[in-house]
Order: sequence, then C-alpha cells, then structure tokens
Amino acid sequence: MSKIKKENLKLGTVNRKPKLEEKSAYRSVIRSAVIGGLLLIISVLLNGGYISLFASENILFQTLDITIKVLVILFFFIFMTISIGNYKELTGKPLDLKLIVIIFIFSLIQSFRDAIVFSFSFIGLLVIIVYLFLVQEN
Amino acid sequence: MKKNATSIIIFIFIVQVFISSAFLIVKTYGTPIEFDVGFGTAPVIDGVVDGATNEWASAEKLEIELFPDLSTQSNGLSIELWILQAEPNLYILARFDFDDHISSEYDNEFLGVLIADWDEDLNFTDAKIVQFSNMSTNSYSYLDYYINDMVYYEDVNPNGDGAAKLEGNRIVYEFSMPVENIESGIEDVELDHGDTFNFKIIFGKTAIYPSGIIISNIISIHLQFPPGAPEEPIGELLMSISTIVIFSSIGAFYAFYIYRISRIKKEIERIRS
Repeated sequence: MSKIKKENLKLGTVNRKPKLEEKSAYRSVIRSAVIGGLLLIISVLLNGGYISLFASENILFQTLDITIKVLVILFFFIFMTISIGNYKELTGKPLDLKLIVIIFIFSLIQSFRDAIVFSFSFIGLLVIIVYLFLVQEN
Repeated sequence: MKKNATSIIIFIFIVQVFISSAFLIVKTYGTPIEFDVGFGTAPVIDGVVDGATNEWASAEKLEIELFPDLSTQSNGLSIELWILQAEPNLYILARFDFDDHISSEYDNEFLGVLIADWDEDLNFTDAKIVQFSNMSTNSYSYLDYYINDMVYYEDVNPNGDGAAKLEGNRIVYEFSMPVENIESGIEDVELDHGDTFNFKIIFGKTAIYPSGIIISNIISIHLQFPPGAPEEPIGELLMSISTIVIFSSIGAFYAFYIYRISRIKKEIERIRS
C-alpha cells in the first residue's frame, strides 16, 4: 500500500499543470523574441539597403527581392506579436490595441526606403491583423 | 461576421493585385543597359573622331543594338556608343557602318537621343536630334525638342549641340548637352550628377517624329560626380540618417523588450505576492 495519500497526489498534479503552462509560455516568449530579433537583423541588412540579394535588374529577381523583404517584415510582426502577447499573458494583462499598433508601426516603418515593399507590407500587415481579429472573435 | 471578414480579406487581396500590377507594368519594356559615366577631356562636336588629339579616349565605350521592336529585340543594328562627361557637358557619340548610306533613301536620315527625367522612368520628354537634309552634301541640323503626349515641340531656347559626318559607309553622330544647367527650364530635362537617367537612342530615315523612328534602344546612364566633389548628395545623406535613426529606434525598442523579458520572473513573483 502506498504511503502517499491519493488526495495529496491529485493536488500535486493540479499545481504542476499551471506551472508547466507558465514554463511553456515563458519559453515561447523567449523563442519568439529571438526569432523576431534575427528577423530584425535580416531586415536591417535588406530593408536598410546594406545588402542587396540580387544585383540583376531581371524582373524575376526583383520580384523575389521584394517578396523576401516583405516576408521578413511580416514574420517580424508575427513573431513579435506572439512574444509580446505571451509576455502580457504571463503578467496577467491582455495584449491591447495600443501595443499592436506600436508593433505594426515598427514593422511597417522598416520598409520606408522602398515604396513597393512598403505597400505590400502595409497590405500584408492589415491582412494579419484582420486574421488575428477573426481568431479572437471565434 | 465571418462572412464579412472573408470579404474584407478578398477585397484587400484584390487591391494588392492592382497595386502590384501598377508597379510591374513599368518594367515590361525590358531592362535598360546601365552604366556609370565618368569624366575626361571635352571632345569637339564636329562629327569627326580626331585620333591626333585623343578625343573620346576616356569615354565609356559600349556596343549596343538598335531594334525595330524593343520587346522582341531582334534584327538589330549594331552601333558603337561612347559617352563621357567633361564640365559642364555630357557627350554622346554614336558610330556605325551602314551599306545603305549611299542610297538616296537615307538622305533624310536622323539619329536622336531622347531623355527621361531621373524619376520619370521611361517617360521621355526631351529630344536632341541630328537631322540630315541631304546626306550626300553632309547638310544637317541639330534640333532640340520637348515631347508632350508623343508630340514633338521645338524648344524656344535650344540647348546642347550636335554634329554628324559620313565617311564611306561609316557615320559618326556626336552630341553635347549641359549637365547641372539650372536655366534649362521646362523644355529640357535637367541632367544632374549622382543621378541615373534613361536615354533612348533613336534612328530613322524620314524627318517625322516619332513615326519616322525605325529602330531604337534604351540605355540607363548614371552621371558620376566631378572629381573632388562630395560623392553623396543631400537626399541620399538624409536617407542614410533616417535609416540609422529608424532602425536604431526599433533596436532600442527590441533591447528594452529583452530587458523586460529578463525581469519577467521577478515581475510574476511580484504580481503573485
């Protein structure tokens, strides 16, 4: 016969569950922030005009160049939103509109050097926000 | 609600397709040949390449083809194109061999340079043309036009110079046009150092523009700064400063956030207590 009472065992499992959730949320905060940081570095190099991926004026390469720049910005927004959202959850507060707007501005402003990248990023970010709004609604 | 949101997303995608197509249409004429043009000694614009004075020796030398249709780029006429800067002008020379030069069909031959402003892409609004009136007597005139809606209007104040000379089957066309000419007015494209301009080289055999143009090609020329002049114009300098400021701000925001993450465990404990 076990020396530990069944009641004590049950209590332990219940306490461990929120701790595990907290740990996983904390990991998500860090991982997403690190990925966001890497994307920011890539964005500085590409959208800041320090590195050019394709020297060719070929339309295909130009399109690819624009696509990569836009995707870097969009993924930066997504990962930073995930990271900050989880961070807020850990502190017991919701991710409010003010913070989303700040991340939106910091993401969009990275494309200020190129009108095409700016317009695509703007539309892409709007689509993501509408999607997030939808998910929240559901 | 879900239906509305789907409609919004579809609408945004349609807008995106329209915006992207607007940007892509500009590029469908093919990519212009692009190169940098530096400085050298000013040549004499007389239609003759004087080997004794070494004129055009420091020019950027290029061999291009002029095509009847720029989109298909076939059946081209190969020409030598030499370009150089010498204060205060940009000099362009076009030289090519053409068997038909002897025939009277080409008595009214012309070669011209159309110029688009640096921010106008392929909207050519300025034309410098050397127009022959009689090839056999080497009679020609230099014409300066401005173009509005495909109509060529003669400039009230013509700028630049042009000359041509046929020797055997080989013809030489020479042009000069002012750079950094603030008095050029609206009739001429104001060429500036440090900017890239699209030039269209046109050739035809009847003095009607633009219907007389039979072959052409586009080149993109970046006009270098004169030696010793500051390399970076004020616009680019402002852009560089803005880039540093903007990305530093985002970096600072990111660093602050990382600092907050490092303090999160303490903050959770503080909230719980």
